[in-house]
Amino acid sequence: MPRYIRGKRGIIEKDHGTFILPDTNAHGRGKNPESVYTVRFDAREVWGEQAAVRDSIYLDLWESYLEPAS
Amino acid sequence: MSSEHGHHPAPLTDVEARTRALESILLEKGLLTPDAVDKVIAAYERDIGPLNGARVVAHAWVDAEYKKRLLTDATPAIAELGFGGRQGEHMVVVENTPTIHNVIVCTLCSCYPWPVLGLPPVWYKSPPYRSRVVIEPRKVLQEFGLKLDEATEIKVWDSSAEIRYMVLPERPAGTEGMTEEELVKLVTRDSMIGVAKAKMPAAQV
Repeated sequence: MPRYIRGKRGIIEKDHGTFILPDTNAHGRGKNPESVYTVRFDAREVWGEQAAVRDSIYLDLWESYLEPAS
Repeated sequence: MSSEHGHHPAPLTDVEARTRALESILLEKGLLTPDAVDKVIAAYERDIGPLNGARVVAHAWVDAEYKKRLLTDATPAIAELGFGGRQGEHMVVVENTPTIHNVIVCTLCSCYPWPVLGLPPVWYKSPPYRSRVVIEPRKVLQEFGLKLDEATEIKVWDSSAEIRYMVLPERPAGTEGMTEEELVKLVTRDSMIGVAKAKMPAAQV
């Protein structure tokens, strides 16, 4: 998972269905398919005030990378 | 592969040396044939390149129903024009508008929608592009010669899983009378990555 969005809040925009989880599959620990979501992050959520207020970053993340926002 | 000049062959770069080593051992172990390598190289030199994506874009510009299908479910829409395959199994096409500008990156490596754009340019694979475009997209785009006004919303799409992205650039003004084939010529690779707009039509005399 790209490190720059670790701990950041985003919104799920799209559910792409299930994909093999590379974190385990690449290490011979099984395919463990999970849902992959496109998640939208406000640029300011990720980079702070230096970012443009309207800009956003979209990433595709496996279910186990996500926690419910509190 | 490096070329040799008389008695002083140019030294191999690290990447060239590594590529040669990998190729040799794969051939040695019988996991690869020389024909296979040549076929793949020929395919990406001759058949699979940004002209494919340009055709998709031009078709979307002239056919509103096709454009709707392309934006809803890109993979089968792209397949309608005969394109698809490796690194294009899960496509999403994102549309530029007068107020929204999209740009694609793979911060983790260099994922790229090969079936519609061919192989990625070196700059797309470089750490500076991959790290900077997510942090300061406006500045990076300006360095590519694309100046966007402050009101434009920039969306950066980081291909961090299996989905591959392509930008549908805006249709340039002044192209109303043009045929689909003429429009194809205005669609550049860089406009489908999102670091440029499509070309303006040549001035009419």
